[in-house]
Amino acid sequence: MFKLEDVHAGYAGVIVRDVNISVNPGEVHALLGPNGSGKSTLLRSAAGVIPPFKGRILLDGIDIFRNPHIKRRIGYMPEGEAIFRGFTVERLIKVMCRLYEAKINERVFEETRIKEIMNKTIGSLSMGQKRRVLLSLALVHDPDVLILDEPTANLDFTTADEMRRLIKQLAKEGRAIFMASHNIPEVQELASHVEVIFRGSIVFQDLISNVEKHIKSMVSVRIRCTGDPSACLRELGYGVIQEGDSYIIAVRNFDEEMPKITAYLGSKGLNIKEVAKAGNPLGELLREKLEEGS
Amino acid sequence: MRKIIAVAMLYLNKVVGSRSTIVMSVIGILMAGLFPFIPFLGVPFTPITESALMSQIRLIGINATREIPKNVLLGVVFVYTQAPALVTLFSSLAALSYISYSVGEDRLTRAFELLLAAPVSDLEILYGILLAGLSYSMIIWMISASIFVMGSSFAIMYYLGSIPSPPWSYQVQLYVLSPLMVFLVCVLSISIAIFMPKIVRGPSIQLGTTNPFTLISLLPLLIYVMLMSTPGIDMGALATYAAFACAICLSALTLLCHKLFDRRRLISV
Repeated sequence: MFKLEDVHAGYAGVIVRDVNISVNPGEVHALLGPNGSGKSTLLRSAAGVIPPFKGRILLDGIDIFRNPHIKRRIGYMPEGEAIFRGFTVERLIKVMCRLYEAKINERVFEETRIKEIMNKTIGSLSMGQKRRVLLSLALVHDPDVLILDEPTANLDFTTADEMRRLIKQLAKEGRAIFMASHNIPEVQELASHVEVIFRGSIVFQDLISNVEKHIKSMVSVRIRCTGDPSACLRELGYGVIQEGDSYIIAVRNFDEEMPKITAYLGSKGLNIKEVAKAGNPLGELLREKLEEGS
Repeated sequence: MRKIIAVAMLYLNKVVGSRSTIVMSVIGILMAGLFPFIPFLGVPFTPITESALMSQIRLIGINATREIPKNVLLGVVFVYTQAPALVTLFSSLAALSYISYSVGEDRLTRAFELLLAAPVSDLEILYGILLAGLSYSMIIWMISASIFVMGSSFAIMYYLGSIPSPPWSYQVQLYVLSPLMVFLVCVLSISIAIFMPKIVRGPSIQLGTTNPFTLISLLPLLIYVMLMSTPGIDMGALATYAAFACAICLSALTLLCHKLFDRRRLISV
């Protein structure tokens, strides 16, 4: 198990405080938060790049800063283009494998589709190719824990999609994955757990399947029906926004209120074509937590 | 040791990756190669330099077996006497440029994160970078010293018709003191780059005199030049002190690494 225990991390001063996260094999923990909230700082500390001011980062109970050899079991993909230049891809992978004292896991080259760029120099690669090389570097020593800092940021749709497919596969293989992302649909697709970080503190953490339970605020609902339901909805006390042939209202409790609304609209001769939540639950939660925090 | 070599390989590769380092090395080597041909140009010397050079003729073991113009003779003596200092200067500047480029770039691009996330200790990282820096600067030193020695010997044979027989003190200055000075500059510049990374402002060549990185790193070179111009200096004793200084620097680095190596400072740009 990969565990962050009471971690306080930062550079000149503490940026991230009091973080407790446990990532089990096969789990994907997504760290969500706005820019500057401390996501990358926390991931750097978790990956063993910067030591925490307080607390411990443990892999199977072993502190990674006291026993750096255990970092052999961690793969880290930093954000952006943080990669050594002046090498060919093949040479860089070989040198990094020497650092990890590991045999090259060649399967990774096919999975990350870097076989065709092995002889190219890092400087000549596109952003997407560099990100794929960085993912290969994180995987090439066959780690148990993967720490990914915004793995699909600045990638085109196809490459981002491939990256997501690969992350899912890696989790299925039993690797513990701890990743940061800005992309809410991506987190919903990949993560088993979500942690929301705001101003350096974890303000929410739970299974992604439990996220909806935590939303206290209004949920936006999109209604499409045969006629104009706005008058009826106003009679029921809802504010209505029209968007094309859809009408959007905000409800406090979707499961309780919607049957009453649809029944009332039906009694007024309006046939419901579609009722759907207009907002994304994870997005709503994130917004709510950030509003609470500020 | 394998990890130290792997870190050194990461950094030695930067010699190929850095145009400025290549340019600096090539300029240094070219200048070293061209310097022995100064006598051809018949460079004029001031009276003070002239008398200083005349007094050097016997000291450095040059015997003119044929009649040559005075300014050519002085040119030959000038080349020969300045060779150790110039080899040291070129090699030190090349090392400085290489170190500021490699560490500066990795901080800027955050590539350092990959190294810090790897299962290597702080001391292994420091030794790896040191090994790369020393290998590079010693290679540059060897190339420029060989060119100087061969070039100036050729110039002396060509102009004076005799093979130079340099005294012991000259040989100590060129073959012992000079590489030790380059070693010291290299160790000092790497220590500053790693322990006080903000001083290394970026991947460009840091040779401006207002830059504290350059000033502190070149301190051994300045002391060396000052001592060289001191009359009657004992080269043997000086070389022994320089060797001690190198040993003390390396020991201090090893002992203080765990206190001075600050990963947070290295990462924050």
